Amino acid sequence: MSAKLIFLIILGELFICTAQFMFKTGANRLKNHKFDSLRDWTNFIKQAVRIPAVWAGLALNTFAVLVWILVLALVDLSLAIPLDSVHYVLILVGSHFFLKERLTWERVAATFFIAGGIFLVALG
Amino acid sequence: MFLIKIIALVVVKDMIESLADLFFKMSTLSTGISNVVLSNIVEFTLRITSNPWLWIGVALYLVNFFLWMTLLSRVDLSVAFPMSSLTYIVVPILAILFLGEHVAPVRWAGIFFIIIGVSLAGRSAGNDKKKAAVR
Repeated sequence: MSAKLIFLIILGELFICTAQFMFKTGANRLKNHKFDSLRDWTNFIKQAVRIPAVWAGLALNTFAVLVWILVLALVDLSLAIPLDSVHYVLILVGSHFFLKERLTWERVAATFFIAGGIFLVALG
Repeated sequence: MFLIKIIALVVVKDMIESLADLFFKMSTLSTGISNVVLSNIVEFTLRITSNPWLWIGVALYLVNFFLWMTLLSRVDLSVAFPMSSLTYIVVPILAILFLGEHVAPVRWAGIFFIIIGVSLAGRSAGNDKKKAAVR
């Protein structure tokens, strides 16, 4: 692995995870919606698109896709897919430290089963 | 009731995402170009953007974004993120059915692990709600 590739991978992971933290920060301001009628949904969308954190998340996600394309140009997909499992661990740890979410055994076990599963899927 | 709604939302979101992934794959196949390199990238881009499957996939991704925000407005990120990993289970099944792809045994083992992980995350979502109700 070249230094360029490692740099791109770390950059991509940072973008993907920060995008999710932004989405969650935005979603925390959308808790009062009930979704009982179509009107609730349109109100939800109207409010969501006015939250800056949501747009920051979308922008970061776009950057992540661009970085991801560069990574795929350098390595084979079978080598790139196991990297997906890294997001799960970073999201778990980041949610606890940045969003003050509880770190329970179920969440830790869920994350490691899925990360392990993705690794096996990539091997196959 | 809360957990059923959350599970329904996750299932619908992941189904749409898996379908979108299938459409994306179909749009790449329709170009007839299997190896994208610098010399044919313009031709590839022109062909793929004139394929309706690509745009259906893009539209589905947009719908999914709002479903994801809905989910995040209800549960923690560290629960929602592992819960919505059903695409790893659905995409291989769709690939077998519609694209004739082969799934190796080690991949099935991986899918089994993911099912356990998603179930644990769902359990966590249910327990959190119960605890919140007690408080």
